[in-house]
Amino acid sequence: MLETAVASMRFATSMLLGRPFRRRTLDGIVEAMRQTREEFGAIGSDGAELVGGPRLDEESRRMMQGRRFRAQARRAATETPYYQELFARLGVDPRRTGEDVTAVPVTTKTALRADPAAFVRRSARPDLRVTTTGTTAEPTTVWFSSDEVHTIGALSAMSFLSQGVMGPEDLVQISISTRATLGVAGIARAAEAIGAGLHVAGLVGPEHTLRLLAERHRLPGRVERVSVLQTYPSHLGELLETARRLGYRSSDFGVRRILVGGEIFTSGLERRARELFGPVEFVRGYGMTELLPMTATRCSDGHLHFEASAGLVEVQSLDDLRPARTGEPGTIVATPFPPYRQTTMLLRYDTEDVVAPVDGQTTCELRNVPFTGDVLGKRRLSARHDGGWTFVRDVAEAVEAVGRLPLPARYGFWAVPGGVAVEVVAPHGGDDTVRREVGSRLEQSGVPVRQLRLVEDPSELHHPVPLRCDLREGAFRGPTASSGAVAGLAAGRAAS
Amino acid sequence: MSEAFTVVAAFTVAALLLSAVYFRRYQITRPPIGVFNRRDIATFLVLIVLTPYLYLSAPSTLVAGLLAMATLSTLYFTLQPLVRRGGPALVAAAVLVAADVGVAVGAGLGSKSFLAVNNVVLLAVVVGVTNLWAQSGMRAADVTLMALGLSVYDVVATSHLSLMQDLLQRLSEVPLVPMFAWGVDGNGLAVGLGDMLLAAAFPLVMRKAFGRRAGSTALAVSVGGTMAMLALVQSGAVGTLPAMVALGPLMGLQYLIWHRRTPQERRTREYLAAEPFGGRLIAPNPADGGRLLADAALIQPMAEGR
Repeated sequence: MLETAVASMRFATSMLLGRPFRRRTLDGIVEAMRQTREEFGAIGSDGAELVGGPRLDEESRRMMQGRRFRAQARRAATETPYYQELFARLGVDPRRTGEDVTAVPVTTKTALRADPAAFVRRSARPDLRVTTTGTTAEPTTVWFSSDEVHTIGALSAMSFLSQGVMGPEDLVQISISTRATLGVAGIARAAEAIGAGLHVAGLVGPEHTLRLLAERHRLPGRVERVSVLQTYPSHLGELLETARRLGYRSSDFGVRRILVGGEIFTSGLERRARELFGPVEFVRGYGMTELLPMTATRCSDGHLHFEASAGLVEVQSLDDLRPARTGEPGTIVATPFPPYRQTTMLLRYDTEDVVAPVDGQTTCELRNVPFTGDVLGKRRLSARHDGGWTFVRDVAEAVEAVGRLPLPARYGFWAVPGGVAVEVVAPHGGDDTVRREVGSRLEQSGVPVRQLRLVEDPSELHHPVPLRCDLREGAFRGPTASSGAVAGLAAGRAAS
Repeated sequence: MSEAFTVVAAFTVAALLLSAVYFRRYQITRPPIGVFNRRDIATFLVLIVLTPYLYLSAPSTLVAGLLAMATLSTLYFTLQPLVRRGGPALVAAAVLVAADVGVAVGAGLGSKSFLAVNNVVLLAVVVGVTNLWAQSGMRAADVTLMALGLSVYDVVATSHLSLMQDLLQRLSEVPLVPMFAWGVDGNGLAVGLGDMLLAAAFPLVMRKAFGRRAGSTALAVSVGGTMAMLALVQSGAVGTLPAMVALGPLMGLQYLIWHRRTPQERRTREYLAAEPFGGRLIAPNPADGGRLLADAALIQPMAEGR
C-alpha cells in the first residue's frame, strides 16, 4: 500500500509535468489495481480517477491543454525535421501559438505516409515500427519506443481492471489481425499483467474461431471457455453467420465480454450477436495507431470522451479548414501530448475519421471529460451529395438491421444526383421483400437513396466498403493439401 | 482494584470492543488502490525500529508536531464515516487534538484531566488505525507475522535495552502521549499504543479471514491477555511487561489453528459476501460521474475500413 502511494505520486507527477512514465511506476499501479480487485472484487471510481488525470473546469482545461500543446509544438519544432522545416517555412513560432492552435497547420496522413521518420524526435529511441493495415490506402508507418509500447499495455491493463473488463480468471482470445501490432500487444500485455489466460488466435476462418470459442479447457484457476473476445465487427458478423449455419447455440459459448473496434459497430449487429452469445457486454472505444496511447472512452450516450491530459482533440469541418460548428459533423484532428507520446510527434493530425455532431451539452457519466460524437466512418468513404453527406454508419446501420441479409453486410455507396446510389450483397441477389426492407431501412437512416442495387456476389460490388475480416490470415499449405483446410485453419473466404 | 487499573482496563477493553463494532458498522475511506501487504508489514517493522530513535533525538516541539499531524489525520479518517462529511470530521478531529494539547498546556501532562482527554483521543486513534489496516485488506498471515516480529523486538527493546523506557519517558513530556495511562507518582499504569493496535487489529483481521468464531475468539484472547498483563503489572509482580511477548505467540497460535482448519484465508469480497456489512457504507459521490481513465483498451486502429 505504501509503495502504491509512491507509485501513484510518481504517476501523477508524470501526468502533471509531462515527464515520461517509468515502467516500474506503471507496473506498480497495475499490480496494486490487480490486488485491489482480487481483495475487494472491484475498483471504485476513486481508483479509476487516480490514474485518469486531473479533473478540471473548462477554463483550467483550456489553459492546461494550451500549455501542453505549446510544449509539444516546441519539441516538434526543435526535434523533428518535418515540423522544423514547416515552422521555418511558415514563419510560425511554436512558443507564440497561444490558445489559437490553428496557427499550426493540420498534419495530413499523406505527409506522415511520405516520410514517417521525419516526425520522430531526434532524442527519442524509435524501437518499433508499426503500420496501419491500410484498408483505405497505403499503410501508414508510426514509430514507437519500447517504453511507449509498455505504457500502452499498462494503460490498457489499468483500464480493464478499473472497468472490470478482464480478471485473472478470464480466458482472453484475440481474434484480430496479428499485423495490428499495437492492438495485439496492448491486449496481450494487459492480459499478462492482469494474470488472465491469453490466446492470440489471429484473424482466421470463422469456423476455426468458433471452434476455439466453444472449446473447453480444464485449467486451474480459469474459466472453462473463452470469456473475453477481442475482434472486429465484421469478423463478429462472420461468426454469427457461420454459427447459424453450423448449428451453434448460446450454450456452446462462455463469452462474457466482446471488445469490438476497428470498424463501425452497428446496433443490428449488436442485437444479432446477443442472440448467439447471450447477454454479453460489448466494450467499445476509439483508438488509432497514429494517436496511441491517446484513446477515447465511449459513454452510455454514445459520445467519445478524450482525457484532456492525454491530448487535444478538435473537430474540423468536412468542407473547409475551420472548426466544425454545433450540429455539424467533422473529422477528428488530434494532438497527443506527453507523457503519452514521446517518439513520433504529431501536431493537429487529421485522422480522417468523421464524428457525429454534438450540441455541446451532455448529462452522461463522463460529462466532465471532453467529448465528440460517435464515429460515422472515414471521410474518404463518405459521399457528398446535393442533400449533404452520407456516411458509412448511415448505410451500415440500415443494412445490418435487415435480418435477411447475411453478416457481415457487404455494400457500397456513392453520390449520384439528388442523393446516393447504394449496392448491397443479398442472398440470390435479393427478392422484392428484401429490396423493400433495405430501401425502407436506408430511408429511416436518413440515406437519400436514388438507386438501390442488390447483387449476389461481393465481387459484383462497384465500390465495396472494405472490411477487416478480409485481412484473413492463411496457414502453411503443403503441396498435397487439397481439402482447403490445413492445421485447422479454414482456407478461403467465409460465406457472406 | 486500583483506580489506575480500572481506568486503563476500561479504556483498553473499550478500544478492543469499539474497534470490532466499528469494523462491522462503518466503512473507512481506504486508499482507492492497493492492499495492505507483506511489504507494508516490513516497512512498518523498520519504522517501528527507527521511530524511537527519531523521537529520542528530535526536539520536543518536532516530536509534538509529528504526533499532532499523525493524530489529526487519523482522527479525520476515523470520524469521517460517522459524520458522513469531510468538513465536520476535520473540525471534530482538530477540536480533539486542540483539546489534548490545550489541557496538557493548561493542566499539565500529569493531570487527570489531560490523561482523560488523551485516553479518549487515543481510543479513537486505535479504532481508526486498526480499521484502516483491516479494511485495507490486511491478511491474517501478515498481521501474525507483524505480531511475532514485534514480540522479538519487544523483548530486545524492553528487556535488554532501555529504549522503551527512554521513549516512554520522552513521550510523556509532550501532549498526545501514545499510551492509555492513569495515575502518577509510582501508582500509574499504562498500555502502549503499539500493543493496543496489534491487540485490536488481530480480531478484525481474523474475522475477515476465517469468520465470526475466529474473530470472537481472537477478541476474547486479546481482552483476556491484556487484562491479565495489566493485573500482573498492577500486582507489582513485574515492573514493565513487554505485552507483545505474550500477545504475539497467542496470535501465532490462533493463526496456526485456524489456518489448519481453513488453509485459504477469505478475501474482503468473500468476507462481505458471507457476512454482509451491517452499517454505513460511504456511497460514491454521484457528482464524480464515475470518471474513468481514457480507455486504452480498444487500441486496434479504428475506422480505417468501413
